[in-house]
Amino acid sequence: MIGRMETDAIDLSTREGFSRALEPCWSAMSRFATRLCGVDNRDDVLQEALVTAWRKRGQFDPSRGALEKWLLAVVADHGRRFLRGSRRRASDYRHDPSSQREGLTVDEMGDLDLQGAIKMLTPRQRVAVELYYYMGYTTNEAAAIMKCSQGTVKSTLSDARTKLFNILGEDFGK
Amino acid sequence: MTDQIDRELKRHALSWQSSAPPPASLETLLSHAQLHSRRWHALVPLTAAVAVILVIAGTTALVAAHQDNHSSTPAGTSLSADSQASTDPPADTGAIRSLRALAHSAAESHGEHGAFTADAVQTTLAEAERNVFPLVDTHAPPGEQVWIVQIDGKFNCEQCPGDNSSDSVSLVTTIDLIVRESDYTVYGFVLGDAPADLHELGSVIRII
Repeated sequence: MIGRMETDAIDLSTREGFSRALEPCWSAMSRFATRLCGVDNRDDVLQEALVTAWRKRGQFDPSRGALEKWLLAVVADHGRRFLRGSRRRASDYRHDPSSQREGLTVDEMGDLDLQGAIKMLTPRQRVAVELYYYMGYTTNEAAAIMKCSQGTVKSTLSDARTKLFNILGEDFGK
Repeated sequence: MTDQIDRELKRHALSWQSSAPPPASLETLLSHAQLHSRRWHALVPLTAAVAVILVIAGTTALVAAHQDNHSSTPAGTSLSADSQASTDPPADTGAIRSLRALAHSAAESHGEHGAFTADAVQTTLAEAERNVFPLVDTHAPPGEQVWIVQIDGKFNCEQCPGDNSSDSVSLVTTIDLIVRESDYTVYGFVLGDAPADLHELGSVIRII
């Protein structure tokens, strides 16, 4: 018996087809945008990404990768733009163990520090960290989304960890 | 030395995934686009700027354009035909002058950075909305004729994500205007980096 794998053809030519194709990817797009830009800015970034994806849908080539990765690349582009604009605000972050921390567990305080430090990464480092650690993609998959080589992702992650270490200090997490 | 950071990132990621906020609503973002509020928000200053330019110049471009439309040869039709046959600049008709003035005004009001070009295509409002505001449900009356004017260059975008800090403004590369053919007022516009494909709609004319 000859088996045949059924695959749904992706039809991005109509709004309905576009919407249907997006549905299985939407959770990942939404989580990625939330991680990059926060819940408050997520919808704006996703809106921009949707319009870009619609307009550039003709450039999507299924033979070069899954739709989800292509869509995440679009979200990453808009997320990076957002991060470039918001980095100055993030640079106000200071490692301040005394502020607004009453009642928090050690882990929660650590999370607060780590999240603040992540915001100080460069947009490229931030995208790499979010894809690899928080979205759970491999470095190879992250490379496809970031449109660079796997080696570049690895070195970007290494730079990011070093920067986080320098920000948080060697006692962090101990 | 960064092994500890690697472990903490993995631990924090697990913690975040278990308490991540629910995803945004795809349906909402597809159908209720913020483009609506954005374009209307930006429409007021743009229209005012265009009006000022037209008054200062002492022209009656809108009237001239309207008259052109009702002369023996419809301006839009002849322009489209011209552009199909030749890449020469189109005749300097009232319609072109109006579109050109709108393009200059839009570019100026968005802080043009250097040279820019502008193309125009004639279509219906419904088609223009589908093309320029692709994710917004259109309720345009059938048959209303408009121009899409696409301006390519570098422009400021006050409302774009990423421009929230007071001393940083995002740059975009395209402004798409929808211009009513009946009176050459701007129906709406979008700023972005992904220009609509005007060639899907008909013959494209270079106006600047």
